[in-house]
Amino acid sequence: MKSFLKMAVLSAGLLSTTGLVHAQEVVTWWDFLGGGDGVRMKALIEKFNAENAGKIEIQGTTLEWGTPFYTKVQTSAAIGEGPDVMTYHLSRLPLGVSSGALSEITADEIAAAGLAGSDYADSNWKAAQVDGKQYAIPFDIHSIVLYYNKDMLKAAGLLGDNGLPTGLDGVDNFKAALQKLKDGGAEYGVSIHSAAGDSQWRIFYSLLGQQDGQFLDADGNFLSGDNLDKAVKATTVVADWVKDGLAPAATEYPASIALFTGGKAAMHINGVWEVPTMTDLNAKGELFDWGAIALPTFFDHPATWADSHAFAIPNRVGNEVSPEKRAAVLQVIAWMNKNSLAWADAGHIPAYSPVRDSEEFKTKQPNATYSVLADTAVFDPSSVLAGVASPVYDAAGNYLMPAVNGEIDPQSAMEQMRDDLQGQVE
Amino acid sequence: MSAADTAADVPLPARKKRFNRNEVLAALIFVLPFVVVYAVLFIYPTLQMIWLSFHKAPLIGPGTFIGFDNYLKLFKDKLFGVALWNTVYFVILTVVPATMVALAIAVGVNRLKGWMQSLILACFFIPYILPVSVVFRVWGWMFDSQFGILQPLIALVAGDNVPVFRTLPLFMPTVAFITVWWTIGFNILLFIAGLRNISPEIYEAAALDGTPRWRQFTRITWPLIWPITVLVLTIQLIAQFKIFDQVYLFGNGGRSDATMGLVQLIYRSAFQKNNGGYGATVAVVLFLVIVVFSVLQFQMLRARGNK
Amino acid sequence: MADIRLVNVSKHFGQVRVIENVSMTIESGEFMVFLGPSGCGKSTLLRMIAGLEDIDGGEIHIGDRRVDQLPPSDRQIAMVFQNYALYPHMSVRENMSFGLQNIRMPKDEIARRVAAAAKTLELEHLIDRKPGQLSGGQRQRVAIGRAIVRDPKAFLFDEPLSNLDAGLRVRTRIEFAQLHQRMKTTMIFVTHDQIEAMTLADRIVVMNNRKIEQIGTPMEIYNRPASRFVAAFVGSPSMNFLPVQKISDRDGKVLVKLPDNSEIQTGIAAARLPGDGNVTFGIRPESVKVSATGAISGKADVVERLGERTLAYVRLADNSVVIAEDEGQSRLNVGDQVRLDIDGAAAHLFDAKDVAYSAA
Repeated sequence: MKSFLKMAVLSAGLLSTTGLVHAQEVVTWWDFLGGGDGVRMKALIEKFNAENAGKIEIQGTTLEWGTPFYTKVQTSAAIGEGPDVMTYHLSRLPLGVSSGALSEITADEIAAAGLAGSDYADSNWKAAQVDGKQYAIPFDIHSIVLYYNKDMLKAAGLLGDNGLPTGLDGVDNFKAALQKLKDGGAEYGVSIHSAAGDSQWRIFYSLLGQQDGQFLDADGNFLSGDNLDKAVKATTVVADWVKDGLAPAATEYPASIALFTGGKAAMHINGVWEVPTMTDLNAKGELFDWGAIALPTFFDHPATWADSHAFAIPNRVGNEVSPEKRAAVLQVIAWMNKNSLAWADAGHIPAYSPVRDSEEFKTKQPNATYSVLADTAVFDPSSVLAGVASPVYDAAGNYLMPAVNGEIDPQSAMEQMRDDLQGQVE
Repeated sequence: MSAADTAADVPLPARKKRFNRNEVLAALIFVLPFVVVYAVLFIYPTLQMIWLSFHKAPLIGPGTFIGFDNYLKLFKDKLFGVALWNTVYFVILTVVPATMVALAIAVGVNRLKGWMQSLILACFFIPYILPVSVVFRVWGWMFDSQFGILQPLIALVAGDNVPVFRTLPLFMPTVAFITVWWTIGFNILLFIAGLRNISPEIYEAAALDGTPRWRQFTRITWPLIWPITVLVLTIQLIAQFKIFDQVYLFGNGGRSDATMGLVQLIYRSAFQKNNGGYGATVAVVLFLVIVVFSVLQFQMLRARGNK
Repeated sequence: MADIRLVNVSKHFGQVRVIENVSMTIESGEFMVFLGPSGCGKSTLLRMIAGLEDIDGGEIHIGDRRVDQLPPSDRQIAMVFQNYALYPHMSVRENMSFGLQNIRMPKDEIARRVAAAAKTLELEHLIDRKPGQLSGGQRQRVAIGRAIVRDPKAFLFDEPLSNLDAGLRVRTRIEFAQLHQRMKTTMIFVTHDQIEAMTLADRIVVMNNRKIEQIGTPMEIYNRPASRFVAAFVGSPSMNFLPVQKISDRDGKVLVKLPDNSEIQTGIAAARLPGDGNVTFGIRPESVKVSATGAISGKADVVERLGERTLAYVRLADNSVVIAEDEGQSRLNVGDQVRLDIDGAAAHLFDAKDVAYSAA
């Protein structure tokens, strides 16, 4: 009976390659991109469908960002009802692989699609691997940047002749700059979403990276040795801003943006994904002259937390796709990468180096100003406990966020965070 | 008057029970769809869940049998203790207030007439039809530590703006208050239905008996809608034990370990950490807690009503 | 005990007038029945006396006190509702004591009164039951007991028998009569059932269309109805009405001509009803006998055998139908030609305004 079924499947497969060779491949696509990101991605999909009419058609569905998306992916992969291709956070990859949701992409497949690992920043390409196997193709690098109000910085003497801020590097310099801005009439020097653990995590991880601190070492230990001290230092930097009233305490994500766009805060640390917000407001004449730069170097060298939107192929248990469909999926991924300049409008930095090195991107502002991030990016630790909506993010809410707001002493917060996460290692 | 009427006036004798094959068959046909749906969508998953709780297993896929290890782990899990307490605390903060306030509002609304009554009732009911995400956004902004329109008021009392959802002692009471605001419309509706069931003649009799207003409420209205009160309390109890959405949304990004309830622990274990076995274990315990509490409460309250 | 006086009492709901200018006096100790079809205003009038409805004009006095602005509980009356309105969650004892507790009566006095009422009404074995465990008749006795314990100046009953089945209704009716004889308290009893009214009342207030048609003893109402409405409403089977022509008088009494041209002399003094013209002739079935020597002839359409008498619905030549009486053992059959003998002395006449004239 089984062999009969196999034969039936095989012959059906043969039919599809011979008899229906001109049939259009339909690629089912899931993403979690809402808002400004989503609009730009839909435009890309439409462009792809137009260029590949009659050959490949993408049928896209947008789902809820975060845990709901990943839960649905996991459950649908288990019963073979998932999409053909989907967007995925590289930080979330280890958990995805461990739960069996992701299908490995072989070197042959990658080569056949005209892509190569050398087309990507090394740290980025490696972040798409688990145990040396490729499970995703990066699409962008997104990080946090420092948005600034040119008028306010200029008034405080913090704007150089090139229109870029100066004198912000170093913990003390930055704090002094914040004080200057506050003295100059700003309610806050910098606005951060101090009520949100995930936002604080991004700043914290950047500052840890600038000290070469390791959140999770090669032996699977969290904040081992002097990494704990570095973590305390990183936490203290931000906690001091809040303590001295240079940054707002316990402020939610939307409110922190409003503080900046409303002119109450001179600077703002947030993801590149808010670039379209600023651009649009400015175009409507509702925002002052603004800019965005990579996060200043507070410690030894530049480093900024980063994550990647990538493309991954889910496992389809009991409902495997044809090789032709997989080839089509890889073509979709390759096309998207090669056309990712348009994606940069959403503030992201294209992961695909040829695009990033192109003349068009190098003149695209403010992306070009902070595109250095691609090389200084530090990605989340590769662990099932890390990544978007992971236990590490929860721990950031439980310990880092209260430490920033002065509810817990940074030393004790980091120790608790370390112990909590270590306790969750299976 | 005499008791001459008793002969003709005794209640009808209980009808003789009769079962015949056709009736049993018809009954079976009528209940079958429900039984099938109930078995497939409730009994089977519940048994699976209990079975899963004895395994170390991912959310999906096979696991290994480990007996009662998950349960032992549960009792050592500090987070479980916190989640259990938070759930009970939330139940305490919401169930009785939501019922009492709903009763008070229902009594008030019931005294209004015509379109005024419809209007006021609608005002109280509208929050109930809002999705939780809208409730979250509305109250999130109202309490926002920077721009919330309630903050000037809070600052009057506390001296400064207070980030209520990031202040642990305020978190649960605030979410409980919002929950009561959000869900009270349904309770009010149930109470109004109960109040309308009381014959106006009863109140006229009470008026002739010279019953003072408060005594009329405590001795007549309240006992007569006691069954509704028991119903509302029980529905509330079960619903609030399953608290998740509001706490999750308001607590997201914050000290979620300190604010989570049992359902959130299930969610985190099973969906976030892919530990289906442990998640199932917490779910079994929550299931038992709800069954025990609601049966106990229902029986106790009903007994009081019968007294 | 006290009399109840209504002076020009009116009531309207919005634009709709429900009681117009009603005045009456109910004597102390009197059993007064408000009788009328549904919607005539009799229940509203009772509820106004009880204080459950406000009045929009006029005055109500109970004894020497004006009560129309007092709350129900201060009027010293007790009321039994159509559906009894017992407190369903209280026992019989609690139902009866509740009102007394409200006025802070001493406990032993309450117990004494409740025990006495329970004894009178034979409710002692039911004293701890709840209304749901009682039959309709038992509930009604509890409702009466609740009224009795208050020792009111007047009892108001709002159709208290309408929820009982026929046999029980007749027995309870008799018990009401006995209750009144024993207590000798002023009672007002609202009903739409003319037999209840006739059997119970000292006097009857017949109401129609928001107004009082007639106040009188049962036999006055029956024998000398004040209007065509009262004549038709009281009596079973109902009075026969025939259009007649008043032709002249004979011996000072009105002489009328029936549609078939036969003439009947009434007992009504001609002086009271001057002039010629069309009037309505009313005669109760018991005054129309089937008789071989009768002056009028017709055909029996329907024959109802009641045992002690027989009713014949006789169609006259002009197609009008007259209900006539025959003896219990009558051999009359449907379709038979019959002759009717009308007792003109018992006849009533109604003028164009439906005002009634009866033989003195």
